Parts: sequence; C-alpha cells; structure tokens
Amino acid sequence: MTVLTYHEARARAVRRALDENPELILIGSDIAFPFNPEFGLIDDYADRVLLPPISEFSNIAAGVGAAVAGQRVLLPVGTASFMFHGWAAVVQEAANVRYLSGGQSSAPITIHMQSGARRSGAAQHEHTPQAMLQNIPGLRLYQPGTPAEIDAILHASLTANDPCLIFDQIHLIDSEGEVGDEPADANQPTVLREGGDVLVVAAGLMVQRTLSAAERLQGDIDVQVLSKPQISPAPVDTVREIAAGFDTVLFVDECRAPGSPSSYLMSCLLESGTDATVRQLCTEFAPSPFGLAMLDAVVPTVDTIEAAVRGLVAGAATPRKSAA
Amino acid sequence: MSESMHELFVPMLRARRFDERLLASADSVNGPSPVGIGQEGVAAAIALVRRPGDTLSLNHRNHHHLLANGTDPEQTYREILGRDGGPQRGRAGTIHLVDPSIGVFHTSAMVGCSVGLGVGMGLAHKRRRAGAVAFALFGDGAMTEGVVAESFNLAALWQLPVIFVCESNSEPMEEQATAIVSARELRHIPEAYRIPARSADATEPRLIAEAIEAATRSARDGKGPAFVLAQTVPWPGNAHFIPAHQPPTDLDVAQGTREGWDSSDPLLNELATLLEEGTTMDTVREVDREIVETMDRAARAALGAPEADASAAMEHVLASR
Repeated sequence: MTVLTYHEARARAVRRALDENPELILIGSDIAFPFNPEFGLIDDYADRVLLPPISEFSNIAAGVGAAVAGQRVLLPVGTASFMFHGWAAVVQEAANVRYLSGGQSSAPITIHMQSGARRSGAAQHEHTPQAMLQNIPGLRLYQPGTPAEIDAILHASLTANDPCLIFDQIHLIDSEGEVGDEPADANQPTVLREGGDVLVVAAGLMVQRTLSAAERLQGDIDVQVLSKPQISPAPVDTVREIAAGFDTVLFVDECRAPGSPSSYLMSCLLESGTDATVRQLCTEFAPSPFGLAMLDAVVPTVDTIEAAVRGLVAGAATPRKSAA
Repeated sequence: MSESMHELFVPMLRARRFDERLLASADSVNGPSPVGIGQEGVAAAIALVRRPGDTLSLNHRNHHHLLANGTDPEQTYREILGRDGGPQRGRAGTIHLVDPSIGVFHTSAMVGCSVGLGVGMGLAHKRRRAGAVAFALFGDGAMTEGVVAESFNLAALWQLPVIFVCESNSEPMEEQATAIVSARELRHIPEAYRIPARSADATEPRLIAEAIEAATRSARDGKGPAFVLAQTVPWPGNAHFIPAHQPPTDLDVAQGTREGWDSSDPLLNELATLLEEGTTMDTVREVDREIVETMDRAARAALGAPEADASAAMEHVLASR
C-alpha cells in the first residue's frame, strides 16, 4: 500500500500499462493533460504516443479500427463533451463489434475523458455522457472516485477485451488515498466508510464530496459511503445486497436525474421490494451554468449532500428543498 | 482452364451467382439485402492483390467482396437469412457480414464509417511493419460524410497504408461529380489532402484491377494512402434498397452476335475478353454449372435450417471474464 494523489496514481497506472504491453498506443491530443508531461510520458514513449488532428470522429473511428485489427488503444478525447463529435464511432461501432460478429471480433479500445463540472466550463464543456451511454449495451463504463479506483480502472480497461470508457473528473486530481501494489477489482463497489444510519451510493467526484459530507455528519448521523466505479454493466446485485441493511439509501450522482445511472439502480432496488426510503440527489436539469454560485446551486456539493442526508433522516420527501 | 480465368472471372462469377441465387429466394430474406451485382469487378480486383494479414473494411453492400475472396456461401446464406449455424449466430443479416479468415472483422453499415475504421486498421498495420494494408470500401454517397474528409486527412498526415476504394454507382454529371457532390470530380477530394487518386472504369475488370494493383503496391511500399474511384453503373435491380429479382445472367450473350449484351456488365465484359483470348465457352459453362450448383446447394441447406436460436440473444454483448 502506498498513499498517492489521484494524479500520481493515474500517471503510474498508464505507465505500468505501457510497460506491460508493448502493443499499447495512445492516440489523443489531450494526452498532455491527464497523463502529465512532467512524468515524462511523451519523452519516454515517443513512438507510442500519437498526436492526431482535431477530428474526434475520425480519431475515435481510427482507434476502433486499430483495436479491431488487434492494436491495444488508449484514446483520451480530453473533455467528455468532445466525444459527441465521435459519438457514432462509440455507439455504432465500438459497442457492436463483438455482438454483430457473434463473438468472433472485439474492439479493445479505452476512451478516457474528463466529464462533469470543470467549473466555469459552461454548457458545452461539462457534460456527463455516461448517463446516455449506459443505455448502450456492449460498452464498459467506469467512473473513478479515488486513486485506488483509477488505478484499478486503467488496469481493467487496458486488459479487457471490450471497449471501455473512463469518465474522469478534473477536480479529483489532488485527492489522496491508499493504492495497493496490485490493482483492485474495478468492477465491484467498495465501502469507503462504514456507518449504520444512512447508505450513500456515489461515483466519481461525488464520492469525495460524500466522504466530506459524512465527515461533517459524524456524531449526528452515521453515514456509510459506497463507491461504485463501474457504471455499466451496473453492479446491481452488490448494491442491492449492501442496501438491504439500511432504512435510508441516497444516491448522489453528477448526472442529471432523467436516465441517470442512479435512477437505474434505484429502480432495481425498488423492484426488489425494498422497504427503505430510496432517493437520488443529482445535478439539476439545467445546462451547466458558467457562474460558480449558479453552478453550486445545480451540481451536488458537500453542503447539499449534507443537507440531503439530514433532510432524509428527518423525514423529508425529497433530497432537495428546491426540487422544482 | 486458362490461368487468367481464375484471376478475375471466376471470383466475379461466384459473387454473381451467389447474389442471383439469394434474390431467387428474396421472399425468405427479412429486411433489405443490398447485393453487389454490377460491382464484382472491384471485388475480384481486390481479391487478386489481397494477402494474408490485410484487412478489409466493408460496408452494407458487401456480398461480392466476401464471395470473391472465398467466403463460404452456405455460412453466408445462413447469416443473411438469420438461420441457425450462421457464423455470426444470427446477429448480422446482410449488412454486417464479417469473415475474419479473409481479414473482415467488423462491417459497419453507417455511411462513411468504413472509411474511419479502415484508417485505424491501416494504423495497426503500419505499426506492425509487416507490409499489410487495409482496404476501405465505400460508395459515392459516403463522399459527403464529414468522417470521410477527416479520415483522408488523418491517413495522409500519418502516411497510413490504406487503399480507399470508392465504388461509385452514381451517374457522373457534367459540372459536378454527382448529384450530391459539388466537387468537379470525386477524386479531387482525396487529392486535396495529397492522396494520390486514380479513376477507373469498373465495368472493365482489367482496368479496375490495374488501378487497384497500382494503389495497393504504393501503399505496401510505404508510400501512404491511395484512392481509387471505381466507376460502375447502377444495376437495374438496385433502383430500390430492396433489390428486385432479375433473370440470372446469360453468359452466352458474351459470344456470337452479342445480342442482349449489357456493355456495363463487368462479368460479361471480362468473359468477352477471355473468349477473345481463347478460353472456350464450354469451359466457362462447366465452371458456371459447378458454381450455380454450389450456390443452389448452399442456399437450400440454409433455407432448410431453423431460425437462429433465440436463447442466445444475450450472448456476446461483452467478453466474459
């Protein structure tokens, strides 16, 4: 075990994957940011880091084509919103290679992106496309929330025989946490904090905010925090098993509520006949505002998570006072 | 049998008879099934230069390429008809057919996507330095898709071994390339990205074979991508997306008075050349009879098979691990 920042864990995991698999190449103009030039990636692996033109559709299509032809590809698209330009290559091509071929072919490509509120990115740079993509069979979707999770997710994605998408969040960069010498299981949710009163299930940056909220609530309300790095296929059974021990379950999700990963898990819990109060706290159904005060009014913050937990324990009907 | 007969004519004939037999059972096909009739010359030209390790990125109109490259007809009929025993387990139908044994791993029916995927395959080949190339097949309609422009640029920037083959079955116009392309000629578009481009009459198989061979040689030699415009004419049965049945091609019209000759039929054009070079019609008829019988046997076996098993519908969504 080592304590690493998220940023260090991510760079270490990419480097490990490059060392373990000489076939792995990186295609992406934003490589410089998430995987960090000060770690020397571009210098040390010059012939495996390809800097393409600003052409998301052809870049992703080429990544998928290379993967289909046997090349292992890590493709950072930078900001998740940019992927909309290459949407067809993800939804139509990568997701369908295995199924259409009846298991004869595969597309082992990993697409990495920064999703969610970067703050003052405004409406065109803060999307959370994982909510849309969870409706597409044939993809593995990951949303890391801790250094150990990005470590596990990069390992799982870069060794899987499926197309994998990693929905990173820029504000996780300085989070610290213990990272094992061997990557953990990216497909299973992890209890990051034990507690008996309320279960909060979160992913991505919302994990960090929930941990902070739980810290504040300590003494009043004992919060258990469950982090679920794998969005799709959804870890339904594990969430159901852990939720069974609670009267109150809150999902915190940076996606908007309609069609959010949380709403799917909530529906699974409800279908299983739970008696618990199950609610979700999501980003409000508005585009991302530029102004920070407005942004904090729509994206769940430590304050709103804390208030939501208090409200639910006190018997509130919804996690937000201003649910409208 | 003459050596040259097997280079272009026999692969074309396999493709032609495959599609004709399919159309004879068109009532059993669910949904559209675009056929390659009239475009077999392009397929045979590629099959002639394809080497093990090369890849083909095909599109919705793909039968002729598979058959010219030797894909098993019965397996293909089973897949097209959604029957048990299809290699893709009933998931493909016509427009997504693959055959990894000939380098066809994934077939996109999204117009233009075959070009982007083909560029990626070229990237994989270049990194392995084995001299393999990728063929990206697309119709003239794809030339108006943005991903095609992006892909030309990328392939040219990175000098990838990709042969872009545009199978145009639109009528060329006087002032512009086609009714929906404002460029004067289709080849001007790749040329703007400094991709060497050739146009060839694909109703004359030897002309298109020459162009494909030159483009492929250049890509194999590390000279980057190349573009070939294979100009065909629309086969009458393709007027609608669900092709109409036409009487099977009568090979005999290629000899004698040539009455009923369709000068845009690449199969008949190649046959006429072979006959002029000394191949006898008897030899051709014998080969044809064998191929027609093979296709008929294959189609009957597929038509007699039950539907693909519904219980397998949830398999192969993701790799199991």
